[in-house]
Amino acid sequence: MTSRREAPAGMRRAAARTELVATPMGDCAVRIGGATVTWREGRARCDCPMGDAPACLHRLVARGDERTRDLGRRAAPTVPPAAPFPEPTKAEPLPAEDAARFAPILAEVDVLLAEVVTLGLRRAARVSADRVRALAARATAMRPRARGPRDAGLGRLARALERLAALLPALEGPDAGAAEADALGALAVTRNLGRALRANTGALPLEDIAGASQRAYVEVPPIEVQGLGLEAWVAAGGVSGVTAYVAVLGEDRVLARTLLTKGKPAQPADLRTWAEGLAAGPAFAQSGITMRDLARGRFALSGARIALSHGRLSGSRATSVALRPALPLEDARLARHVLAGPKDAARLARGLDFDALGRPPRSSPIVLLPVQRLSPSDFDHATQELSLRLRVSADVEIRTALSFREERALLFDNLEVLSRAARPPRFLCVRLAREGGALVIEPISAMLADGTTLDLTLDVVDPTLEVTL
Amino acid sequence: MIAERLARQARAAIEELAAAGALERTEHRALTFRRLAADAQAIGLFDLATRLEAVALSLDAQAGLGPRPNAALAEALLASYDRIEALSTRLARSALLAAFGADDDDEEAP
Repeated sequence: MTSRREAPAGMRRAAARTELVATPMGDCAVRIGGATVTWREGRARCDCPMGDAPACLHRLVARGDERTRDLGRRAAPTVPPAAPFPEPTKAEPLPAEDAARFAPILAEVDVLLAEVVTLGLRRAARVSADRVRALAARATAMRPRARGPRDAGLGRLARALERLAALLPALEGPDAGAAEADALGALAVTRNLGRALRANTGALPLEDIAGASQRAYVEVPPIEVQGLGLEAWVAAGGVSGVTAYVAVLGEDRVLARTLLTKGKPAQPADLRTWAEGLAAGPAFAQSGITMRDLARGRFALSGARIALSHGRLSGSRATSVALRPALPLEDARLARHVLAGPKDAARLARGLDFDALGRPPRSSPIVLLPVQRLSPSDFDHATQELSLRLRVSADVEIRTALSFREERALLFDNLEVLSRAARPPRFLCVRLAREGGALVIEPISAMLADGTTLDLTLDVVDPTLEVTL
Repeated sequence: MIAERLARQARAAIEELAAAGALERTEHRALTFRRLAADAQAIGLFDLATRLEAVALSLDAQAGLGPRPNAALAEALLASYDRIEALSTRLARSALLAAFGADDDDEEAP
Protein backbone atom coordinates (compact mmCIF):
# COMPACT_ATOMS: atom_id res chain seq x y z
CA MET A 1 0.00 0.00 0.00
CA THR A 2 1.09 3.54 -0.65
CA SER A 3 2.84 4.87 2.39
CA ARG A 4 1.47 8.10 3.75
CA ARG A 5 4.99 9.49 3.79
CA GLU A 6 5.33 8.96 0.05
CA ALA A 7 2.49 11.42 -0.59
CA PRO A 8 3.49 15.07 -1.01
CA ALA A 9 2.36 17.38 1.76
CA GLY A 10 0.12 19.36 -0.60
CA MET A 11 -1.66 16.19 -1.68
CA ARG A 12 -2.17 15.19 1.93
CA ARG A 13 -3.65 18.59 2.71
CA ALA A 14 -5.94 18.24 -0.31
CA ALA A 15 -7.03 14.81 0.90
CA ALA A 16 -7.80 16.28 4.29
CA ARG A 17 -10.00 18.98 2.75
CA THR A 18 -11.65 17.19 -0.15
CA GLU A 19 -15.37 16.59 -0.21
CA LEU A 20 -14.79 13.31 -2.09
CA VAL A 21 -16.31 10.31 -0.37
CA ALA A 22 -15.25 6.68 -0.66
CA THR A 23 -18.12 4.48 -1.78
CA PRO A 24 -17.39 0.77 -1.26
CA MET A 25 -17.72 -1.55 -4.27
CA GLY A 26 -17.36 -5.05 -2.90
CA ASP A 27 -14.65 -6.22 -0.53
CA CYS A 28 -11.55 -4.87 -2.23
CA ALA A 29 -12.57 -1.74 -4.13
CA VAL A 30 -13.97 1.71 -3.50
CA ARG A 31 -15.24 4.35 -5.90
CA ILE A 32 -13.97 7.87 -5.21
CA GLY A 33 -15.22 10.55 -7.56
CA GLY A 34 -14.38 9.32 -11.06
CA ALA A 35 -11.72 6.83 -9.95
CA THR A 36 -11.75 3.31 -8.59
CA VAL A 37 -9.23 2.24 -5.96
CA THR A 38 -8.63 -1.48 -5.53
CA TRP A 39 -6.56 -3.39 -3.00
CA ARG A 40 -4.45 -6.28 -4.21
CA GLU A 41 -1.76 -8.05 -2.25
CA GLY A 42 -1.78 -5.33 0.35
CA ARG A 43 -1.26 -2.49 -2.18
CA ALA A 44 -3.76 0.13 -3.25
CA ARG A 45 -4.06 0.72 -7.02
CA CYS A 46 -5.97 3.54 -8.66
CA ASP A 47 -7.22 3.80 -12.24
CA CYS A 48 -6.83 7.58 -12.37
CA PRO A 49 -4.16 9.22 -14.61
CA MET A 50 -1.82 9.25 -11.60
CA GLY A 51 -2.25 5.54 -11.13
CA ASP A 52 1.41 4.87 -11.87
CA ALA A 53 2.65 7.50 -9.38
CA PRO A 54 3.47 6.40 -5.83
CA ALA A 55 0.44 8.30 -4.49
CA CYS A 56 -2.72 10.03 -5.62
CA LEU A 57 -5.58 11.87 -3.96
CA HIS A 58 -7.96 8.94 -4.43
CA ARG A 59 -5.69 6.47 -2.69
CA LEU A 60 -5.25 8.83 0.25
CA VAL A 61 -9.02 9.29 0.52
CA ALA A 62 -9.55 5.53 0.16
CA ARG A 63 -7.35 4.91 3.17
CA GLY A 64 -9.59 7.27 5.08
CA ASP A 65 -7.12 7.99 7.84
CA GLU A 66 -5.59 10.96 6.03
CA ARG A 67 -8.70 13.04 6.31
CA THR A 68 -9.47 12.18 9.88
CA ARG A 69 -5.81 12.52 10.89
CA ASP A 70 -5.69 16.06 9.60
CA LEU A 71 -9.14 17.16 10.67
CA GLY A 72 -7.90 18.71 13.87
CA ARG A 73 -5.32 20.83 12.05
CA ARG A 74 -7.58 22.21 9.35
CA ALA A 75 -7.72 25.93 8.98
CA ALA A 76 -11.51 26.00 9.38
CA PRO A 77 -12.24 27.82 12.59
CA THR A 78 -13.62 25.91 15.52
CA VAL A 79 -16.17 28.00 17.31
CA PRO A 80 -15.53 28.05 21.02
CA PRO A 81 -18.30 29.07 23.37
CA ALA A 82 -18.36 32.83 23.92
CA ALA A 83 -17.27 32.20 27.50
CA PRO A 84 -16.14 29.00 29.24
CA PHE A 85 -18.71 26.81 30.92
CA PRO A 86 -19.10 27.56 34.61
CA GLU A 87 -17.01 25.41 36.88
CA PRO A 88 -18.86 22.74 38.86
CA THR A 89 -19.43 23.37 42.53
CA LYS A 90 -16.36 23.64 44.76
CA ALA A 91 -15.43 21.00 47.31
CA GLU A 92 -16.55 21.61 50.87
CA PRO A 93 -17.15 19.55 54.00
CA LEU A 94 -20.55 18.73 55.40
CA PRO A 95 -21.34 20.95 58.41
CA ALA A 96 -21.17 19.08 61.72
CA GLU A 97 -24.88 19.70 62.30
CA ASP A 98 -25.79 17.91 59.07
CA ALA A 99 -23.33 15.09 59.73
CA ALA A 100 -25.03 14.53 63.09
CA ARG A 101 -28.56 14.46 61.68
CA PHE A 102 -27.55 12.08 58.88
CA ALA A 103 -25.70 9.64 61.18
CA PRO A 104 -28.72 7.53 62.26
CA ILE A 105 -29.79 6.93 58.66
CA LEU A 106 -26.25 6.05 57.61
CA ALA A 107 -26.04 3.51 60.45
CA GLU A 108 -29.31 1.94 59.29
CA VAL A 109 -28.04 1.81 55.73
CA ASP A 110 -24.97 -0.12 56.93
CA VAL A 111 -27.18 -2.65 58.71
CA LEU A 112 -29.36 -2.99 55.61
CA LEU A 113 -26.34 -3.59 53.35
CA ALA A 114 -25.00 -6.26 55.70
CA GLU A 115 -28.42 -7.94 55.70
CA VAL A 116 -28.84 -7.85 51.92
CA VAL A 117 -25.34 -9.20 51.24
CA THR A 118 -25.61 -11.93 53.87
CA LEU A 119 -29.04 -13.08 52.73
CA GLY A 120 -28.24 -12.57 49.07
CA LEU A 121 -30.09 -10.32 46.66
CA ARG A 122 -32.53 -13.04 45.64
CA ARG A 123 -33.83 -13.54 49.19
CA ALA A 124 -33.53 -9.84 50.00
CA ALA A 125 -35.80 -9.04 47.06
CA ARG A 126 -38.57 -10.81 49.00
CA VAL A 127 -37.80 -9.82 52.59
CA SER A 128 -35.90 -6.50 52.49
CA ALA A 129 -37.53 -4.53 49.66
CA ASP A 130 -39.90 -2.65 51.99
CA ARG A 131 -37.03 -1.57 54.25
CA VAL A 132 -35.05 -0.32 51.24
CA ARG A 133 -38.03 1.75 50.13
CA ALA A 134 -38.63 3.07 53.66
CA LEU A 135 -34.98 4.10 54.02
CA ALA A 136 -35.07 5.78 50.60
CA ALA A 137 -38.11 7.79 51.71
CA ARG A 138 -36.39 8.83 54.95
CA ALA A 139 -33.27 9.85 53.04
CA THR A 140 -35.38 11.87 50.61
CA ALA A 141 -36.96 13.67 53.57
CA MET A 142 -33.51 14.79 54.76
CA ARG A 143 -33.57 17.99 52.75
CA PRO A 144 -31.00 20.76 53.12
CA ARG A 145 -31.55 23.00 56.13
CA ALA A 146 -32.88 26.49 55.49
CA ARG A 147 -29.58 28.08 56.52
CA GLY A 148 -27.29 25.22 55.56
CA PRO A 149 -25.41 24.63 52.29
CA ARG A 150 -27.67 24.07 49.28
CA ASP A 151 -26.50 20.49 48.73
CA ALA A 152 -26.31 19.33 52.36
CA GLY A 153 -29.08 16.76 51.94
CA LEU A 154 -29.24 13.03 51.31
CA GLY A 155 -30.47 13.24 47.72
CA ARG A 156 -27.67 11.07 46.31
CA LEU A 157 -28.19 8.37 48.93
CA ALA A 158 -31.95 8.49 48.42
CA ARG A 159 -31.59 8.02 44.67
CA ALA A 160 -29.17 5.10 45.13
CA LEU A 161 -31.64 3.41 47.48
CA GLU A 162 -34.56 4.14 45.14
CA ARG A 163 -32.61 2.56 42.31
CA LEU A 164 -31.94 -0.51 44.45
CA ALA A 165 -35.63 -0.68 45.41
CA ALA A 166 -36.62 -0.48 41.73
CA LEU A 167 -34.19 -3.26 40.81
CA LEU A 168 -35.17 -5.76 43.49
CA PRO A 169 -38.49 -6.80 41.85
CA ALA A 170 -36.63 -7.35 38.56
CA LEU A 171 -34.59 -10.11 40.25
CA GLU A 172 -37.61 -12.36 39.84
CA GLY A 173 -38.16 -11.34 36.21
CA PRO A 174 -36.91 -12.84 32.94
CA ASP A 175 -33.65 -10.84 32.95
CA ALA A 176 -32.61 -11.67 36.50
CA GLY A 177 -28.90 -11.90 35.67
CA ALA A 178 -28.66 -8.32 34.46
CA ALA A 179 -30.83 -7.14 37.35
CA GLU A 180 -28.51 -8.86 39.87
CA ALA A 181 -25.47 -7.16 38.36
CA ASP A 182 -27.22 -3.78 38.42
CA ALA A 183 -28.45 -4.29 41.98
CA LEU A 184 -24.92 -5.17 43.10
CA GLY A 185 -23.73 -1.93 41.49
CA ALA A 186 -26.45 0.00 43.36
CA LEU A 187 -25.39 -1.67 46.65
CA ALA A 188 -21.77 -0.66 46.05
CA VAL A 189 -22.70 2.96 45.30
CA THR A 190 -24.87 3.08 48.43
CA ARG A 191 -22.00 1.77 50.53
CA ASN A 192 -19.53 4.25 49.03
CA LEU A 193 -21.84 7.23 49.53
CA GLY A 194 -22.26 6.26 53.19
CA ARG A 195 -18.50 5.99 53.63
CA ALA A 196 -17.88 9.32 51.92
CA LEU A 197 -20.52 11.09 54.03
CA ARG A 198 -19.09 9.67 57.24
CA ALA A 199 -15.49 10.38 56.28
CA ASN A 200 -16.54 13.99 55.42
CA THR A 201 -13.05 14.98 54.30
CA GLY A 202 -14.20 18.04 52.36
CA ALA A 203 -12.38 16.78 49.27
CA LEU A 204 -15.54 16.58 47.13
CA PRO A 205 -18.37 18.96 46.25
CA LEU A 206 -21.38 18.26 48.43
CA GLU A 207 -23.52 17.63 45.34
CA ASP A 208 -21.31 14.58 44.63
CA ILE A 209 -21.89 12.83 47.94
CA ALA A 210 -24.88 14.49 49.60
CA GLY A 211 -27.06 16.49 47.23
CA ALA A 212 -30.52 17.91 47.24
CA SER A 213 -33.42 16.10 45.61
CA GLN A 214 -33.45 18.21 42.49
CA ARG A 215 -30.59 18.39 40.02
CA ALA A 216 -29.48 21.98 39.48
CA TYR A 217 -29.34 23.22 35.91
CA VAL A 218 -27.24 26.32 35.28
CA GLU A 219 -27.41 28.69 32.34
CA VAL A 220 -24.34 28.56 30.11
CA PRO A 221 -23.03 31.05 27.52
CA PRO A 222 -24.38 30.74 23.95
CA ILE A 223 -23.27 27.49 22.35
CA GLU A 224 -23.53 25.76 19.01
CA VAL A 225 -24.44 22.11 18.98
CA GLN A 226 -24.54 19.46 16.28
CA GLY A 227 -26.78 16.42 16.71
CA LEU A 228 -25.02 13.04 16.74
CA GLY A 229 -27.74 10.49 17.33
CA LEU A 230 -31.05 9.56 18.92
CA GLU A 231 -31.70 6.62 21.19
CA ALA A 232 -34.76 5.02 22.74
CA TRP A 233 -33.95 3.15 25.93
CA VAL A 234 -35.38 1.26 28.86
CA ALA A 235 -33.39 1.41 32.08
CA ALA A 236 -33.26 -1.21 34.79
CA GLY A 237 -36.27 -0.65 37.00
CA GLY A 238 -38.55 0.26 34.09
CA VAL A 239 -37.75 3.95 33.49
CA SER A 240 -37.79 4.60 29.75
CA GLY A 241 -37.22 7.49 27.40
CA VAL A 242 -35.64 8.93 24.32
CA THR A 243 -32.33 10.78 24.36
CA ALA A 244 -30.84 13.05 21.71
CA TYR A 245 -27.06 13.40 21.88
CA VAL A 246 -25.48 16.64 20.69
CA ALA A 247 -21.82 17.62 20.38
CA VAL A 248 -20.93 21.06 21.70
CA LEU A 249 -18.82 22.62 18.95
CA GLY A 250 -15.48 23.79 20.26
CA GLU A 251 -15.74 21.67 23.42
CA ASP A 252 -14.92 18.06 24.28
CA ARG A 253 -18.45 17.66 25.49
CA VAL A 254 -21.48 15.71 24.37
CA LEU A 255 -24.77 16.74 25.98
CA ALA A 256 -27.85 14.59 26.35
CA ARG A 257 -31.41 15.90 26.04
CA THR A 258 -33.88 13.34 27.36
CA LEU A 259 -37.65 13.01 27.31
CA LEU A 260 -39.03 10.37 29.66
CA THR A 261 -42.24 8.42 29.25
CA LYS A 262 -44.99 9.38 31.64
CA GLY A 263 -45.36 6.28 33.74
CA LYS A 264 -44.34 2.83 32.61
CA PRO A 265 -45.24 2.01 28.99
CA ALA A 266 -47.63 -0.90 28.45
CA GLN A 267 -45.00 -2.68 26.33
CA PRO A 268 -41.67 -1.24 27.44
CA ALA A 269 -39.63 -3.73 25.42
CA ASP A 270 -41.48 -2.84 22.21
CA LEU A 271 -39.79 0.52 21.84
CA ARG A 272 -41.60 1.59 18.70
CA THR A 273 -44.97 1.58 20.49
CA TRP A 274 -43.97 4.47 22.72
CA ALA A 275 -40.69 5.97 21.48
CA GLU A 276 -41.97 7.47 18.22
CA GLY A 277 -44.16 9.91 20.12
CA LEU A 278 -41.25 11.03 22.28
CA ALA A 279 -38.96 11.38 19.25
CA ALA A 280 -41.52 13.74 17.72
CA GLY A 281 -41.83 15.60 21.03
CA PRO A 282 -40.41 19.07 21.66
CA ALA A 283 -36.69 19.26 22.39
CA PHE A 284 -37.21 22.72 23.88
CA ALA A 285 -40.50 24.08 25.09
CA GLN A 286 -42.32 26.10 22.41
CA SER A 287 -39.40 25.87 19.97
CA GLY A 288 -40.99 23.62 17.34
CA ILE A 289 -37.73 21.63 17.31
CA THR A 290 -38.37 17.93 17.82
CA MET A 291 -36.03 15.50 19.51
CA ARG A 292 -35.30 13.95 16.13
CA ASP A 293 -34.49 17.39 14.69
CA LEU A 294 -32.10 18.06 17.56
CA ALA A 295 -30.37 14.72 17.05
CA ARG A 296 -29.65 15.46 13.39
CA GLY A 297 -29.28 19.20 12.94
CA ARG A 298 -27.03 22.00 14.01
CA PHE A 299 -28.38 24.66 16.33
CA ALA A 300 -27.24 27.80 18.06
CA LEU A 301 -28.58 27.78 21.61
CA SER A 302 -28.76 30.81 23.83
CA GLY A 303 -29.93 30.63 27.37
CA ALA A 304 -29.26 26.88 27.37
CA ARG A 305 -29.46 25.30 30.80
CA ILE A 306 -27.21 22.39 31.59
CA ALA A 307 -26.70 20.07 34.56
CA LEU A 308 -22.92 20.46 34.47
CA SER A 309 -22.19 17.41 36.57
CA HIS A 310 -24.35 15.17 34.35
CA GLY A 311 -23.97 16.73 30.91
CA ARG A 312 -27.75 16.98 30.58
CA LEU A 313 -29.44 19.68 28.57
CA SER A 314 -32.70 21.11 29.86
CA GLY A 315 -35.69 21.71 27.59
CA SER A 316 -36.35 25.00 29.34
CA ARG A 317 -38.48 27.55 27.50
CA ALA A 318 -35.79 30.09 28.41
CA THR A 319 -33.57 28.50 25.76
CA SER A 320 -33.83 30.12 22.35
CA VAL A 321 -32.90 27.98 19.39
CA ALA A 322 -31.69 29.01 15.94
CA LEU A 323 -31.32 26.48 13.16
CA ARG A 324 -27.96 26.40 11.33
CA PRO A 325 -26.97 24.30 8.31
CA ALA A 326 -26.04 20.82 9.53
CA LEU A 327 -22.32 20.09 9.48
CA PRO A 328 -20.95 17.35 7.25
CA LEU A 329 -19.64 14.66 9.58
CA GLU A 330 -16.14 15.13 8.14
CA ASP A 331 -16.13 18.79 9.18
CA ALA A 332 -13.19 19.89 11.30
CA ARG A 333 -15.51 21.25 13.95
CA LEU A 334 -16.66 17.70 14.71
CA ALA A 335 -13.14 16.25 14.76
CA ARG A 336 -13.05 16.08 18.57
CA HIS A 337 -16.04 13.75 18.43
CA VAL A 338 -14.69 11.36 15.80
CA LEU A 339 -12.91 8.14 16.75
CA ALA A 340 -10.68 7.44 13.78
CA GLY A 341 -7.10 7.00 14.90
CA PRO A 342 -4.74 6.36 17.81
CA LYS A 343 -4.80 9.97 19.03
CA ASP A 344 -8.59 9.98 19.09
CA ALA A 345 -8.57 6.65 20.94
CA ALA A 346 -6.11 8.00 23.50
CA ARG A 347 -8.26 11.10 24.04
CA LEU A 348 -11.62 9.35 24.13
CA ALA A 349 -10.43 6.41 26.24
CA ARG A 350 -10.11 8.83 29.13
CA GLY A 351 -13.89 9.07 29.09
CA LEU A 352 -14.09 5.38 30.01
CA ASP A 353 -14.01 5.81 33.71
CA PHE A 354 -15.24 4.00 36.78
CA ASP A 355 -16.79 6.16 39.44
CA ALA A 356 -17.23 4.49 42.81
CA LEU A 357 -19.83 7.09 43.80
CA GLY A 358 -21.95 6.40 40.73
CA ARG A 359 -21.62 9.93 39.36
CA PRO A 360 -22.60 10.09 35.71
CA PRO A 361 -20.00 11.42 33.27
CA ARG A 362 -19.98 15.17 32.55
CA SER A 363 -19.98 14.33 28.87
CA SER A 364 -21.85 11.37 27.35
CA PRO A 365 -19.39 8.79 25.95
CA ILE A 366 -20.88 9.13 22.45
CA VAL A 367 -18.60 9.35 19.40
CA LEU A 368 -18.78 9.18 15.62
CA LEU A 369 -17.05 6.18 14.13
CA PRO A 370 -16.13 6.33 10.43
CA VAL A 371 -16.94 3.00 8.80
CA GLN A 372 -15.27 1.49 5.76
CA ARG A 373 -16.87 -1.89 6.12
CA LEU A 374 -19.13 -3.91 8.39
CA SER A 375 -18.71 -7.68 8.46
CA PRO A 376 -21.92 -9.70 8.72
CA SER A 377 -22.91 -9.93 12.37
CA ASP A 378 -22.97 -13.23 14.22
CA PHE A 379 -25.47 -14.09 16.95
CA ASP A 380 -24.27 -16.69 19.44
CA HIS A 381 -27.32 -18.47 20.86
CA ALA A 382 -25.34 -19.96 23.74
CA THR A 383 -24.08 -16.63 25.08
CA GLN A 384 -26.95 -14.56 23.57
CA GLU A 385 -24.38 -12.14 22.18
CA LEU A 386 -24.31 -10.37 18.84
CA SER A 387 -20.76 -9.99 17.53
CA LEU A 388 -19.86 -7.18 15.17
CA ARG A 389 -16.70 -6.35 13.27
CA LEU A 390 -16.31 -2.78 12.09
CA ARG A 391 -13.48 -1.73 9.79
CA VAL A 392 -12.66 1.86 10.59
CA SER A 393 -9.63 2.28 8.33
CA ALA A 394 -7.22 0.11 6.38
CA ASP A 395 -5.35 -0.72 9.59
CA VAL A 396 -8.09 -0.75 12.19
CA GLU A 397 -10.83 -3.29 12.67
CA ILE A 398 -12.85 -3.23 15.88
CA ARG A 399 -14.71 -6.19 17.31
CA THR A 400 -17.48 -5.83 19.80
CA ALA A 401 -20.19 -8.03 21.30
CA LEU A 402 -23.56 -6.84 22.57
CA SER A 403 -25.59 -8.89 25.05
CA PHE A 404 -29.19 -9.52 24.11
CA ARG A 405 -31.85 -7.84 26.17
CA GLU A 406 -35.51 -7.75 25.33
CA GLU A 407 -35.49 -4.04 24.65
CA ARG A 408 -32.53 -4.45 22.30
CA ALA A 409 -34.44 -6.72 19.90
CA LEU A 410 -35.02 -3.98 17.30
CA LEU A 411 -31.39 -2.81 17.56
CA PHE A 412 -30.19 -6.37 17.00
CA ASP A 413 -32.51 -6.85 13.99
CA ASN A 414 -31.28 -3.58 12.52
CA LEU A 415 -27.62 -4.42 13.05
CA GLU A 416 -28.08 -7.81 11.43
CA VAL A 417 -29.55 -6.16 8.32
CA LEU A 418 -27.15 -3.22 8.29
CA SER A 419 -24.06 -5.40 8.62
CA ARG A 420 -25.14 -7.29 5.50
CA ALA A 421 -26.00 -4.24 3.42
CA ALA A 422 -24.30 -3.72 0.07
CA ARG A 423 -23.10 -0.30 1.17
CA PRO A 424 -22.04 0.14 4.77
CA PRO A 425 -22.97 3.30 6.63
CA ARG A 426 -20.42 6.09 6.31
CA PHE A 427 -20.49 6.77 10.02
CA LEU A 428 -21.96 5.18 13.09
CA CYS A 429 -22.82 7.17 16.17
CA VAL A 430 -21.74 4.81 18.96
CA ARG A 431 -21.56 4.65 22.73
CA LEU A 432 -18.27 3.57 24.31
CA ALA A 433 -19.21 1.59 27.37
CA ARG A 434 -18.48 -1.44 29.49
CA GLU A 435 -20.76 -4.42 29.81
CA GLY A 436 -19.57 -6.52 32.71
CA GLY A 437 -15.85 -6.32 32.29
CA ALA A 438 -15.60 -5.84 28.54
CA LEU A 439 -15.44 -2.82 26.27
CA VAL A 440 -18.61 -2.46 24.23
CA ILE A 441 -19.12 -0.26 21.20
CA GLU A 442 -22.87 0.10 20.94
CA PRO A 443 -24.24 1.62 17.72
CA ILE A 444 -26.99 4.19 18.23
CA SER A 445 -27.48 5.81 14.82
CA ALA A 446 -26.17 5.07 11.34
CA MET A 447 -25.41 7.71 8.71
CA LEU A 448 -25.79 6.11 5.30
CA ALA A 449 -23.94 6.96 2.10
CA ASP A 450 -27.08 8.50 0.59
CA GLY A 451 -27.24 11.04 3.41
CA THR A 452 -30.07 9.47 5.38
CA THR A 453 -29.75 8.77 9.08
CA LEU A 454 -31.24 5.75 10.81
CA ASP A 455 -31.78 5.69 14.54
CA LEU A 456 -31.15 2.04 15.25
CA THR A 457 -33.31 1.76 18.37
CA LEU A 458 -36.28 3.46 16.69
CA ASP A 459 -36.23 3.01 12.94
CA VAL A 460 -36.52 -0.22 11.02
CA VAL A 461 -33.64 -0.74 8.62
CA ASP A 462 -35.03 -1.68 5.21
CA PRO A 463 -34.54 -5.46 4.89
CA THR A 464 -33.94 -5.06 1.15
CA LEU A 465 -30.53 -3.68 2.10
CA GLU A 466 -29.58 -7.22 3.03
CA VAL A 467 -27.45 -8.76 0.32
CA THR A 468 -24.88 -11.11 1.80
CA LEU A 469 -25.09 -14.08 4.14
CA MET B 1 -3.25 -15.99 34.90
CA ILE B 2 -3.90 -12.95 32.80
CA ALA B 3 -5.71 -9.97 34.27
CA GLU B 4 -8.70 -10.29 31.92
CA ARG B 5 -9.42 -13.85 33.02
CA LEU B 6 -8.96 -13.01 36.69
CA ALA B 7 -11.30 -10.03 36.36
CA ARG B 8 -13.92 -12.23 34.69
CA GLN B 9 -13.68 -15.01 37.28
CA ALA B 10 -13.60 -12.65 40.25
CA ARG B 11 -16.60 -10.72 38.91
CA ALA B 12 -18.53 -13.96 38.45
CA ALA B 13 -17.70 -15.10 42.00
CA ILE B 14 -18.65 -11.73 43.51
CA GLU B 15 -21.93 -11.56 41.59
CA GLU B 16 -22.79 -15.13 42.51
CA LEU B 17 -22.14 -14.53 46.21
CA ALA B 18 -24.09 -11.26 46.17
CA ALA B 19 -27.05 -12.94 44.48
CA ALA B 20 -27.14 -16.16 46.50
CA GLY B 21 -25.94 -14.88 49.87
CA ALA B 22 -23.53 -16.34 52.41
CA LEU B 23 -25.81 -18.71 54.28
CA GLU B 24 -24.99 -21.78 52.22
CA ARG B 25 -21.87 -23.32 50.69
CA THR B 26 -19.73 -20.93 52.69
CA GLU B 27 -16.69 -23.25 52.75
CA HIS B 28 -16.76 -23.76 49.02
CA ARG B 29 -17.14 -20.05 48.37
CA ALA B 30 -14.36 -19.17 50.80
CA LEU B 31 -12.09 -21.55 48.92
CA THR B 32 -12.99 -19.89 45.62
CA PHE B 33 -12.20 -16.44 46.97
CA ARG B 34 -8.92 -17.65 48.50
CA ARG B 35 -7.90 -19.09 45.12
CA LEU B 36 -8.79 -15.83 43.39
CA ALA B 37 -6.82 -13.87 46.00
CA ALA B 38 -3.77 -16.04 45.31
CA ASP B 39 -4.16 -15.49 41.57
CA ALA B 40 -4.47 -11.71 42.06
CA GLN B 41 -1.35 -11.73 44.20
CA ALA B 42 0.52 -13.73 41.59
CA ILE B 43 -0.02 -11.06 38.96
CA GLY B 44 0.75 -8.18 41.29
CA LEU B 45 -2.78 -6.99 42.07
CA PHE B 46 -2.10 -6.85 45.80
CA ASP B 47 -4.95 -4.52 46.77
CA LEU B 48 -7.49 -6.73 45.03
CA ALA B 49 -5.89 -9.81 46.59
CA THR B 50 -6.29 -8.31 50.07
CA ARG B 51 -9.97 -7.58 49.46
CA LEU B 52 -10.67 -11.04 48.08
CA GLU B 53 -8.89 -12.64 51.03
CA ALA B 54 -11.05 -10.51 53.34
CA VAL B 55 -14.16 -11.96 51.66
CA ALA B 56 -12.84 -15.47 52.30
CA LEU B 57 -12.18 -14.65 55.98
CA SER B 58 -15.66 -13.14 56.37
CA LEU B 59 -17.20 -16.26 54.88
CA ASP B 60 -15.23 -18.38 57.38
CA ALA B 61 -16.67 -16.22 60.16
CA GLN B 62 -20.23 -16.64 58.88
CA ALA B 63 -20.38 -20.13 60.37
CA GLY B 64 -20.15 -18.60 63.84
CA LEU B 65 -22.71 -15.93 63.08
CA GLY B 66 -25.38 -18.24 61.73
CA PRO B 67 -28.03 -16.31 59.76
CA ARG B 68 -27.14 -12.96 61.37
CA PRO B 69 -26.02 -10.12 59.04
CA ASN B 70 -22.28 -10.01 58.52
CA ALA B 71 -21.11 -6.40 58.21
CA ALA B 72 -17.51 -7.44 57.52
CA LEU B 73 -18.65 -9.58 54.61
CA ALA B 74 -20.66 -6.72 53.08
CA GLU B 75 -17.70 -4.40 53.45
CA ALA B 76 -15.21 -6.87 51.93
CA LEU B 77 -17.49 -7.97 49.10
CA LEU B 78 -18.47 -4.46 48.01
CA ALA B 79 -14.85 -3.27 48.26
CA SER B 80 -13.80 -6.21 46.05
CA TYR B 81 -16.53 -5.26 43.59
CA ASP B 82 -15.15 -1.72 43.38
CA ARG B 83 -11.64 -3.03 42.71
CA ILE B 84 -12.92 -5.32 39.97
CA GLU B 85 -14.88 -2.47 38.36
CA ALA B 86 -11.77 -0.28 38.41
CA LEU B 87 -9.67 -3.10 36.95
CA SER B 88 -12.27 -3.80 34.24
CA THR B 89 -12.32 -0.13 33.30
CA ARG B 90 -8.55 -0.08 32.88
CA LEU B 91 -8.75 -3.24 30.77
CA ALA B 92 -11.54 -1.77 28.59
CA ARG B 93 -9.50 1.38 28.07
CA SER B 94 -6.49 -0.72 27.10
CA ALA B 95 -8.67 -2.71 24.68
CA LEU B 96 -9.81 0.49 22.96
CA LEU B 97 -6.26 1.79 22.69
CA ALA B 98 -5.01 -1.56 21.40
CA ALA B 99 -7.72 -1.65 18.72
CA PHE B 100 -6.37 1.61 17.32
CA GLY B 101 -2.72 0.78 17.88
CA ALA B 102 -2.35 3.56 20.45
CA ASP B 103 0.10 3.40 23.35
CA ASP B 104 -1.29 2.72 26.79
CA ASP B 105 0.36 5.22 29.11
CA ASP B 106 -1.62 4.06 32.13
CA GLU B 107 1.09 3.02 34.58
CA GLU B 108 -1.44 1.25 36.76
CA ALA B 109 -2.55 -1.04 33.95
CA PRO B 110 -1.80 -4.65 34.82
